[in-house]
Amino acid sequence: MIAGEALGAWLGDRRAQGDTAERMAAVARRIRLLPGLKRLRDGLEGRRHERAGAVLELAETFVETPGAIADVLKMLIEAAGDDPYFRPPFSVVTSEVHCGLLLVDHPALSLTLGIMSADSIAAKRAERKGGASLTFTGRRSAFHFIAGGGATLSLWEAPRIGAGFTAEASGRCRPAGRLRIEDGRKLDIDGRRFAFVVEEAERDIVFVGAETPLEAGPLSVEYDWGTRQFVAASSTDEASSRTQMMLALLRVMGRRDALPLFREMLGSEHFYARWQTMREFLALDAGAALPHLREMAAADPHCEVRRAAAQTLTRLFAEEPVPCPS
Amino acid sequence: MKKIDISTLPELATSVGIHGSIKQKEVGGGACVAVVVVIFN
Repeated sequence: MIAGEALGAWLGDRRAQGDTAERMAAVARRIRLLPGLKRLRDGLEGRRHERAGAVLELAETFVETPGAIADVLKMLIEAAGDDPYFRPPFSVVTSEVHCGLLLVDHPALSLTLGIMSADSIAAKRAERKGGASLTFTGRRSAFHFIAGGGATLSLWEAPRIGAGFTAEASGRCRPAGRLRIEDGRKLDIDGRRFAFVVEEAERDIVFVGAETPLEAGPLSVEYDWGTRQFVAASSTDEASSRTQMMLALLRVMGRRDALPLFREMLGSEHFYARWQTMREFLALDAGAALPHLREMAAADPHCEVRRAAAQTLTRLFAEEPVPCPS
Repeated sequence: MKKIDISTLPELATSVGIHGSIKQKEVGGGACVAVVVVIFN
């Protein structure tokens, strides 16, 4: 990077950098005390955030509070006007077609103020060829389009993503209508069954997106844009994914003292986590895992887990397969 | 009991990637604007 004169001076002035950092911290404190955001945060800390619908309602109440979003932007704009090196005290969320600020980052709610670029959407549409996916996120979300940008969305439906999901029974996704987005339009998406695609936009779209992990399905599922058939699935549970990696590490390290953790993880609510835990468990200590494998083959609620466990008993322990009703 | 090589154990027919992973590019919908995409601080 070639720094301009002013930027070069700022980069060489630790005191000026400290002033900018202080300004960012002060703005962050003031924003946290804005009534709308404070009410939202207090609501999330209360018991109401146990249900996805209640959390998304809290977010919508915040968005609809007159001046709530404008007050945040006003502070950011004023601070940037006073100091060109000021950066908003929020994480930046970005993709090929949008960028945004993560206004609220809470275990029960992510709230993003974002802008989708009409040009980027058009470019992405022009490039749409084979190998593209429609994604059903598995999570509940609510969008409030502050500026609709003259956009048209296509809505899509697929078999509901539940605890017993299998690729074999995933069916196909199908179109579920089109929607013209006017300014102020609200759109609730249950990502366990529905998805949307921005087909076109005349102008940039400004939106607030709220998403909650509460009551999420176990998986995010991709369907192929061309064939409408299942392509892939990934976990909606970040903690579960991290735990699986830790179990693999414990197995590689030969840590038999961690066996209680493996037993605990066999009780995961996610079928894929239960089976992956069993694989790690068997590789770490087959003798300790065997009783649990038998139990899994007989009684796991997911058919594929029962089937995999039964195959393992037959192949590696020479035991008769357990019937696996679908 | 004999040590088991994890690669010999069966996988589920429904393969599941880790949180946030995708196989194909999205066409431009809800996942594009969800916060599971890359976050820069």
